[in-house]
Amino acid sequence: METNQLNLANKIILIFSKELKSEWRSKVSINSIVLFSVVTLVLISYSIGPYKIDENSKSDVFSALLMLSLFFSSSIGLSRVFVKEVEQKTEITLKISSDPLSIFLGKFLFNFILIFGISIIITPLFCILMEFFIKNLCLFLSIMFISMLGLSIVSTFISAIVSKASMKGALFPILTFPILMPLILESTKALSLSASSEDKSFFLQSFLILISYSGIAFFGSIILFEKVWKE
Amino acid sequence: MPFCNIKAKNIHFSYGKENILKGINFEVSEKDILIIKGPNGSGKSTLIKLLSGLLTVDKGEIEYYVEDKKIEKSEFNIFFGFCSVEQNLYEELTVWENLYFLSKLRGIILKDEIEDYLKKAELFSAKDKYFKNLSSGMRQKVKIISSILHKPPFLFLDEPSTNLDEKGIRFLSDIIEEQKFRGICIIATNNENEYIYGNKSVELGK
Repeated sequence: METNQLNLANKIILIFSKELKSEWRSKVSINSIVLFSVVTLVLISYSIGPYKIDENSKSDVFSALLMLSLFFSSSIGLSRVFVKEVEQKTEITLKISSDPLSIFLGKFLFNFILIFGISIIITPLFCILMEFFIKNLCLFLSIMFISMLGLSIVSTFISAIVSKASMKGALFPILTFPILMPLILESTKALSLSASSEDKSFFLQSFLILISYSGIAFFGSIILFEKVWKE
Repeated sequence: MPFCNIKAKNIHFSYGKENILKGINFEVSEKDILIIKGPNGSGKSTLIKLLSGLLTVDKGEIEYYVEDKKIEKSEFNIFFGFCSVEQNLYEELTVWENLYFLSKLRGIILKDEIEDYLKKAELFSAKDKYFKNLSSGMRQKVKIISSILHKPPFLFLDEPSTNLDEKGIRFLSDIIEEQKFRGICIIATNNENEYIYGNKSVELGK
């Protein structure tokens, strides 16, 4: 055999590039995520607006609304990463051509870039529309980064499970919501604190909780993914 | 040509309570072309998926050897080629992009090889067309090419002549002939015209 085994990093990049190219041409996930996020934003700003909430609870409510909109956006877009392989009957092609680890990591990387990119666009828009001024931008962005990391790991893994089920649409939010609950709660709390005060003492604890959650989700997904993917 | 061998020992497989395969045994070596025959629902596609590692046997064992070295599961994607009617390539990618992606994923980046096969299949002019815009026969030929670009010693084909016209069938014959000098080819089919390719056979659903 005249083949040179590609290393893991190259395979991940190859699968990620394929996902990116496919998505750029079909725009199914991007369109649904952007559309959902913008509609949610407009609805929130129209019905609640910047002045209907008192100043003390503003950061709590707005952080929760921002996380909620990102969670539901991810439910719509990120779940497609494996579901589309089954729908387009390309699952066998991918299974026979590569190993489960690089497939999972390639798809996770794509989901992460997608949702982090969307959050980078949505967050400033949200802040402008709701007149939500963040006092500690650096911490806010760091929390957002780790939260999106955890969100995309779990979403990628659940997408693989959902792709095997018959009720694909309904199953994804049902499965992801309880698993993501600790992440959403901690992120909301940390985002609210970083937005409302310049005090940095909360950061280390929140950072450790979020990074531990993401780490456990990451290694758990890697261990279980092969079983899910091969069945 | 490397020595290669597949030993299937007492294979059992069921979907839920329905037994599909019971006690299948065979052995094939290099230059062998094994035809898996049988009526619809007899388990031909299931057996070829088991052989290619896409499904796992309930009972029994399948062993693969190349040059006396046992092939492990983690190496299947390099040593196996697979083409089935149940499978598709990426609709949003062009013919060229699909073949390049799938061969590069296996560690082969031979652009000339891709070009040669596309010319043999009379698909070179369609190389920049999106896969979704191809006819069913053209799609089948691209799928066949994708299964042999990395020159696998083990080639598994499920109903390979589906949707192929006369020229396509000639192209398929050439591919199977080429595979004889590379290793083993296993074809699952109930099309009698494909029986001529084989020198061994397994009949299911008797």
